[in-house]
Amino acid sequence: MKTAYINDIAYTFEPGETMLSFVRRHKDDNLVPTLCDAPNLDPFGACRVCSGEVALEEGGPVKTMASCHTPVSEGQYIYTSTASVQKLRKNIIELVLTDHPLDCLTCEVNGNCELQTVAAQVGIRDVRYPAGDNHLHKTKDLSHPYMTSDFSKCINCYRCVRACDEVQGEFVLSMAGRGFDAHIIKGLDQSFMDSDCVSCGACSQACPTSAISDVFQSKAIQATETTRTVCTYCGVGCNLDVATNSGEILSITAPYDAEVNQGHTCLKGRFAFKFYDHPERLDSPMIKRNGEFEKVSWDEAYSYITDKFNHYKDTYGPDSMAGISSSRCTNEENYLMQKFFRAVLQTNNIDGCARVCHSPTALGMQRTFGTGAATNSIEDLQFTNCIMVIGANPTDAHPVTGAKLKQFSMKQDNVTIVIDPRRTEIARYADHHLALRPGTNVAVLNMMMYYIIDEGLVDESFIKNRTEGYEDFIKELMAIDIDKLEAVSGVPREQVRAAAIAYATAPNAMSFHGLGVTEHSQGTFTVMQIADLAMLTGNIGRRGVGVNPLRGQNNVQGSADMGVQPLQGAG
Amino acid sequence: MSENLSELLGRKGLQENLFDKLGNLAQPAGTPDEEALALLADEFLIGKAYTYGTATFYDFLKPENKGKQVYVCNGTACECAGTQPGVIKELKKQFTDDQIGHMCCLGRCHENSAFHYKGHNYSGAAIDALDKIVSGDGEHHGDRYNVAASHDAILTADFTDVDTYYEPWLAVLAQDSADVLEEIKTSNVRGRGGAGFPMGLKLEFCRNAEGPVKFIICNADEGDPGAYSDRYLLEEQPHSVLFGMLVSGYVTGANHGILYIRAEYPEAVEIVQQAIDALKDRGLVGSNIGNSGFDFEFKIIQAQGSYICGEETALINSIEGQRPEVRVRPPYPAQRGLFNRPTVVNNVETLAALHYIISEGGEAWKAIGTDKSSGTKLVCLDSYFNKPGMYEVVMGTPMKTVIKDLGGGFKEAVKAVQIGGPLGGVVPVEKLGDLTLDFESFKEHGFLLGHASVVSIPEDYPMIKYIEHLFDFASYESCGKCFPCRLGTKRGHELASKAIQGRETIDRELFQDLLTTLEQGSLCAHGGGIPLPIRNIVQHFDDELKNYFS
Repeated sequence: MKTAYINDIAYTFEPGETMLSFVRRHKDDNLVPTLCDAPNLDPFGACRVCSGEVALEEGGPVKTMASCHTPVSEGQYIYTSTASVQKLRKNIIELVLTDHPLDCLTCEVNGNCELQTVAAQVGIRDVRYPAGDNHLHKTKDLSHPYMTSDFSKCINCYRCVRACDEVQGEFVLSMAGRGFDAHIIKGLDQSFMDSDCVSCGACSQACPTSAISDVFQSKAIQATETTRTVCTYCGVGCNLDVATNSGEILSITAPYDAEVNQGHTCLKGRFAFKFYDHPERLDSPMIKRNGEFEKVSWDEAYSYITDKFNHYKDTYGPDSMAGISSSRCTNEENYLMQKFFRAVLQTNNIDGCARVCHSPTALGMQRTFGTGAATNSIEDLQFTNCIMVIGANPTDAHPVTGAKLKQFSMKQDNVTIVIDPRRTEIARYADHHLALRPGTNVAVLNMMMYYIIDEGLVDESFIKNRTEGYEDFIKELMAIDIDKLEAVSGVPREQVRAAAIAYATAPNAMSFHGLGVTEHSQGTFTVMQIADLAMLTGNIGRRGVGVNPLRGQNNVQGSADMGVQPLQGAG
Repeated sequence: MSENLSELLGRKGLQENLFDKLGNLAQPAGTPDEEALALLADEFLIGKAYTYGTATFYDFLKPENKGKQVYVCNGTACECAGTQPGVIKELKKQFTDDQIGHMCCLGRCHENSAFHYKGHNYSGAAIDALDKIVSGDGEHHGDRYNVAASHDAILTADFTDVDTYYEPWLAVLAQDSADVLEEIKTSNVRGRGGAGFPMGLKLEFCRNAEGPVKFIICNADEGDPGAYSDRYLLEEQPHSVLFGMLVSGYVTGANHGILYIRAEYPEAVEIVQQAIDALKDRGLVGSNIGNSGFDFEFKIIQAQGSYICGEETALINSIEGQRPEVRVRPPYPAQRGLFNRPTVVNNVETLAALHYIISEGGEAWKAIGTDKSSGTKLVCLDSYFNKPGMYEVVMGTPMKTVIKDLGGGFKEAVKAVQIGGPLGGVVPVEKLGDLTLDFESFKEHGFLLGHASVVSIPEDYPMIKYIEHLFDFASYESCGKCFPCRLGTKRGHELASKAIQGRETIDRELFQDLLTTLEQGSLCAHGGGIPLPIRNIVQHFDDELKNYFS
């Protein structure tokens, strides 16, 4: 166990841990103030407000170091709050305030501004510098339907720039100019509207002041209540904090402590909540009479439903009725719905959207692995060396997972294979892009498996210990006609071969597939091939390897697991 | 810095380099157009904001550079010599105000009156023949300065010929690289760029870092006003630098050598390229050099005008085509440097030392100079000396010897000298006798050896103006990343300016707080170093300054 000292008291630290993380883990979060640090961004060392004093031994000479990027070392003495450190922090904040408007009372983030908090914490009472050059004249950018900026409030902490880079991977924001003139720009110094901004809102959430915000003023503190919920838009399942006032949604932010989205979400999750209390939403049950819907009471609706169900059941039998349940509903709701159909109405005619898009995934994976579910968490991306994205455009369809895949694909030592007719965003960054003809997934995957076997890259021990039917499989597979498959798929065989070798030789490889795989007549077979590819190379059953469908709704797995499907009940 | 950008910009290797392309696109207009910046962003899979953001950082890429024809040196030596208003007056006869830009130090500190026109530097009496220079009638003449050594010439020794000079290189290739490293460590040669870090250790860190791709970078961004010793080596002894890079590559397992040469030294770029070509012709670089199995390639990157690029992590960002903002450490460049690969950045003069160390042995170098500061050091003397020039001085030599015996003493009354560039100490002349030329003596007396350039501050040059000049320089060249430097150097400049204009005296407590904030808080030595000369001035010239303070 490694030990270092915080204000002369010994604590244990983890190897590679920064002073800031060490102090925050053992002490009050607010003991060391910060401005440029953010929970989901790399240490940056710009504000220097987190500085502390460090001695290598007890009573030894001290050095002032920024704690956000200085690693703790054995036996080190860290002093967080000496007079010298406190003075330094105060003097830095004083400099910041020489170029910041002092209109806190009318500022949208009043009460929730990190600069304001730190200024109060370090005890600023006046700014001693005479008036000088400043950026207070900068005007607001209100061009965009969601994003806003007011760079007169900017403190140049780069958090927005880093969020756009490290979280979303979009690179819309940067700095221009240098020194005192350095200032945030969007694109070629354009407005939000004219830039390539994808409105994910990561910059707004990252900004410690109101320099970048959104039209819902999500950093304002008028809300009386905040509710943690799960986004219903896609299968990523981002956690959201919904700020409300008297039941009205004011804004949505992404919690940093949510494992699935770690402080990030997309424009849908963050901004597209106006449906919630939209006037066109149904607000009571209705019965159609004489061709017109009429609002009725719940009692009347229930007795109407009961009458109808009983009537059809008695007249035409249970199988004359069918139920559709949504994967946006919870497990409990889905379970009750299918239970109601099976136990009360006595029919298996219960179905849901889980079977529309990814039924081939469920079936294909059941046939190969025995169960139809993703084999990994998205968190496993940090343990893999290679991703294969087939028939999916995750940056559009699953933006938060897409952003993580994009982050992965940008790194030189990682291998990214995209199999898709389109040059998707991930394909731009991929090492291998097999731009096949639509509908030829089977051909390309067969070619890949052929080359893996041909190159001797099969994980023999996995095959021997964990699979069955391999001899039949290999016999069929090696009989394929490469010329024909190359012609059908339109992908040169050398490209396929290179991708196959890359997948098979990666220490850990994960695959991701979407509707480009499943929504074909041969979808189930394609999923089986993806599973076979994983088994052939031993890429299943550990962290960082596996087969991962990118599914459509937040509870698509749950609805199927709860039995919202005709062929299989719950459990 | 951005990890992603380093990864993406490294994809195309060194041959397809974003920073190179930005430089090319800035010609001939003086700045790349926005459409071209957007296309480049697309080519490198990064955002437009980044190509635009990078271009706007540099003096010779930014939009304000558009249409500039001629550049006047505004380095400290020319400033103190007071020659530049006259140069500008002459230039205005040929150029409009919009066509005249500035370059910060052309390394003509020994002649002054320096300016740059169409890829050439001019100084001394050249301005008197401006008509001919502009019409293209006059031949381009380089500058002249004294070169001598206090003892035996090592770095300044006459160059023999390429084949003879590289015999030790072929000998190195036959040795175990671990033994070569030991020799360098034995020599105890320390970095000449200013920080004085032992070169052998730096090479060892990189050698021990894992990775198939590593880089050796020569930091030839000699931005310190007053310094031209790197320029001397690049122009007069280019092979000494290339030799040092080759050996460093062999020791660390790096196969790529990059010389980052400042735009203000156009002649150096040409000369070094010729030297590289000579090596290529002889098979002394390239693949499988001398059948050793070792490969090494050189690449020159021409800088675009920014002092902060002399800071090694800013320099790495610059080569990548990122904005040259200083990176946090760790990771150190030896672990994750250029394109996130293990990298060694060494100063020109440090690399030049290797030829002697390899030829004569580490012990031979160690035997020269003092215990902790081994070897010789190049020292540049400006035009206030009777014998301005570039001198090779054995470490530990009394400064008096350097000033009097080598420099021939001062031409005019000088009250102080700034040694080691803008971040080096300001030494009152009467204190010079206390110093010997080595890292320890300077540190002990509250100064800094730095790169060992000497700029004289004449008797009649007001010290408050010198403080203003230093803050102006620091503020103009700040990368803007860390709060203390971005804001503090600016406010320091404003305080000094207001005091000079008589508008406001400087609050002494506030001024001390500002200096301490810069010193303790800054991310790198730029903001952290500027307080030193200013404190020296405030301490030693209190009488002269007291009316400006309250």
